Amino acid sequence: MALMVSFVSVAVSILYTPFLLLILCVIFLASIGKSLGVRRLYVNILLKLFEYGRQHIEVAKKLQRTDSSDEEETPVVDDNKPPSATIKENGVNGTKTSVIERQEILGPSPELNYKRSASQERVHNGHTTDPGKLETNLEFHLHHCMDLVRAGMESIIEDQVTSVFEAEELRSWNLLTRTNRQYEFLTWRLTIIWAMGFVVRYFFLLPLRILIFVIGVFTMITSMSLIGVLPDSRFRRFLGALAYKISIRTLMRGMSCVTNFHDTQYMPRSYGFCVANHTSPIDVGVLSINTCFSLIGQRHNGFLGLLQRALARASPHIWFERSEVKDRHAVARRLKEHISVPDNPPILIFPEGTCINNTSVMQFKKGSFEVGGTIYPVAIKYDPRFGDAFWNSSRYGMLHYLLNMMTSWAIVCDVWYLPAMHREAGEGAVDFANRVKAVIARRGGLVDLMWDGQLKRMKAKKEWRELQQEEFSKRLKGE
Amino acid sequence: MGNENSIPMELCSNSRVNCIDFKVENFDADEIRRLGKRFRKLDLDNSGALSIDEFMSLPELQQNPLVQRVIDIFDADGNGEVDFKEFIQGVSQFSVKGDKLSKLRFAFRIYDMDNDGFISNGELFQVLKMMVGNNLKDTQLQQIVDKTILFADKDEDGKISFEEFCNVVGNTDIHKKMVVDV
Repeated sequence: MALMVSFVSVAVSILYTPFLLLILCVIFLASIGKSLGVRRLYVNILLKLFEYGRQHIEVAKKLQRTDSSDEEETPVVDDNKPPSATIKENGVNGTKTSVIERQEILGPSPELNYKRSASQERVHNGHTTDPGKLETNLEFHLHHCMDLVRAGMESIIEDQVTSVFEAEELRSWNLLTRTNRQYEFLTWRLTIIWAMGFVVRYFFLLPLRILIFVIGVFTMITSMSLIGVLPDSRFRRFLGALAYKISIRTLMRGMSCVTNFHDTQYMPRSYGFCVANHTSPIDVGVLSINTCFSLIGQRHNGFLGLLQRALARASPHIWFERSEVKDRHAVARRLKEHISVPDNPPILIFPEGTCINNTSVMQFKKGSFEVGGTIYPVAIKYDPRFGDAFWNSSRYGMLHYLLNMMTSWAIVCDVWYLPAMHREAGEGAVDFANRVKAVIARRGGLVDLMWDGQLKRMKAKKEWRELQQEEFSKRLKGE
Repeated sequence: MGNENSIPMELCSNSRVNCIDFKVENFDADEIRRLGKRFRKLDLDNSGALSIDEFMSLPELQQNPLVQRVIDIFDADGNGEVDFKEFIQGVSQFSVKGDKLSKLRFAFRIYDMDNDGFISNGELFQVLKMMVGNNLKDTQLQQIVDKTILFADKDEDGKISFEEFCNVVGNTDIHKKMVVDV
């Protein structure tokens, strides 16, 4: 034991100086927003490693299979699947989005449910709807119930709502035990690679990242409070934006965040709202690397609250008390006030109102679309192979989540800036919200869901069943 | 290969049915494994059986007007809960490999609420009521019910037997609609 301690102390004293230099170097680069390409190199090496691991697992499985049954042909599992399933499994970023292929789903807005069947019927008896003869026109066949039964069956086997609040399923193992339990022990070689990765992540990356992160938090708090005492002027706003970007960049380096920005010509400018899909609080940081935003949200306690208070000192952010959030008019008024000042940075909004696991986009709340002003849509897609960025807020606290992030391999994500959008004349806020959502979902390769993200915490509403019933009766009437 | 199609033991430990000789023909091992995972996920209280509340924790099911009927059919022994065996058997009727007859029987059971082998006038009315809610008048519904029974009831006993049901829906593609990928 004593030997161990002395060994550690020697190692620390030797590594101390280079470690410190490294940190200084990282922070300096972070503050000017430049990269030496080390993180990209690291990510590419990881990708090669994962690929090696995947091939290794496949070979190992194949061997096992031929051992257990000689008569069986080798590619059994893969050939049994329908072609669609295989495509999906090898789909975007090698993730598996869904196990079953769905054709008819009961969504919360029933008019979409019977898209195919209803339109067929409409063609079938297009001329017969005469309101006067309604009673005799009721067409019912015993097989009409099967759409509902089948939809129910599909959601028993796999539903869309609860699955987006869970960690994404990975196609191949990314050498983190937390992502996939079934790969825990496969072969010695993989286990050794995993152990080496563990040492690197926990004994080299983690301390480095924590230090950088703490320095980032410290920079943010001090610079913001210093700038906060300056009188309100253009200079102060400039400094505020600069300090905001520098501290956010440092924080993001603290999580080895590698971001690929696409279409930067559409980057949000002042006036208006930047609207993005929401996976985790890191979204804010990712987007703020390039642009200074005004943030809006509920006041939090604890660590997030600390950051929120620091930010509010120097730049115009909008934090609400929990009680105020319910008051939609007050929120709308504050938003309107904010965008009426031309110098204010754009407001960053996540209209889903909750974190989704990065596979789908859920219903956008209409509030921010009612106010007016330009909407700058942004799609964010994390690469789940390097670590699951989804914050399951009902399971982990903020600090636990950050620890998870810092012990993952890295945070790699794509950010797509999309052309600015305006609400068209006569377009309702809900329609506009859906239009923006569809654009984001398409660009980010996410599934466009109608469901309300609040279902994470709430029960479904009774009215939805009534809507389904209404839709079914319309079908009977041949409408 | 012998044990590939049988239920994983850990899932059977707390169900009352003897699982060892329970084989599932419609699913391969991989599908059973997936369904087992799903079952455990739905089983919020880890009781080894799914209650109605547990099914209803899925918003998509909650809004499905016929969910109660589907769960009733799953619950073969009528104890108010669906254990893993019942779960697998229920889902298997929607398997690609499931035969037409068992699919038709499932569809018949949707209407045959008391499981006496006949769809009575009252049963059809109740199921229709579930599907349309308050959007149609009861008299309108009753008209539909009477018309449907009159149309299907060949032996004129006032109710629809399974054979009569098959005669009516057998030539539709109902069984093709009853396929769900697991």
